[in-house]
Amino acid sequence: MTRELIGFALVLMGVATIVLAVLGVFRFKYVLNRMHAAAMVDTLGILLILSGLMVLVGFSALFLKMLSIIVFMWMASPVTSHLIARAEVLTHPHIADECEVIVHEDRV
Amino acid sequence: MFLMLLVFWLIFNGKVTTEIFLVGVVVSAALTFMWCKVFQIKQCVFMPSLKKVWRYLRYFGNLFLEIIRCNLQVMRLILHPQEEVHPQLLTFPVKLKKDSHKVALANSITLTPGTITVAMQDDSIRVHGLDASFLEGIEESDMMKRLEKMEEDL
Repeated sequence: MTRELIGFALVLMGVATIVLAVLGVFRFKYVLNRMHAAAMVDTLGILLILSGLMVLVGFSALFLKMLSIIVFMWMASPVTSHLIARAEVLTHPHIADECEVIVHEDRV
Repeated sequence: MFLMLLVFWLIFNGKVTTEIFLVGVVVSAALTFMWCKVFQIKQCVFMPSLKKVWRYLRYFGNLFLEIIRCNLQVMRLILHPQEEVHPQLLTFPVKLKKDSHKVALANSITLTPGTITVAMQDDSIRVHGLDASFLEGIEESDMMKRLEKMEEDL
């Protein structure tokens, strides 16, 4: 009973995180800012939902499969978001209008 | 590599029987052999020291806490629509030498919501931050120090 409650609470928290992230995508106005909100889905959203399911299932092969889903999502998602961000910055003609550009030169 | 493949084989099969285990041993040995051939790795057996494993575990634990903290910060920003955000694009030098550690740093930065690695040239890294507060102290962050320390040990 307690296990189910904890599992459901975690899944609900994950769903709430994803709802907030979707709100965030609409709240921010520029691509790069929106991506930060979208990054919430595949970090905390995925983590909370899958760990909730893991608690519900208990320790078994399914548990380990879900754990590996989290690991692979966390390894793959930064690569894709990095590519989107790089494409945006390289092709935007007036990047300085959208955000403050600061360059810290080598101070080593 | 061999152990990793074997463990994945067993996880995805869902149950451990002698048959599955033996087939797994054969398949992962073959894959490891081919992997070493293709990438021309001389030393096929990796035995990381216990200290190094501990370091990596602490690094990932730290990264985990950082991700949760940054998620909460981004949520707070989303829930306060009247607050204006000040996005920044910051370029700063990194002192890491090994490519794999640089990639680890870039991926960690992208993984934490609020910061995205935009570009990475030889020794400098360009990071986009949702708000100026996310980029404060990123140059001397804890994660980077840990990676630097790992590099010293090698």
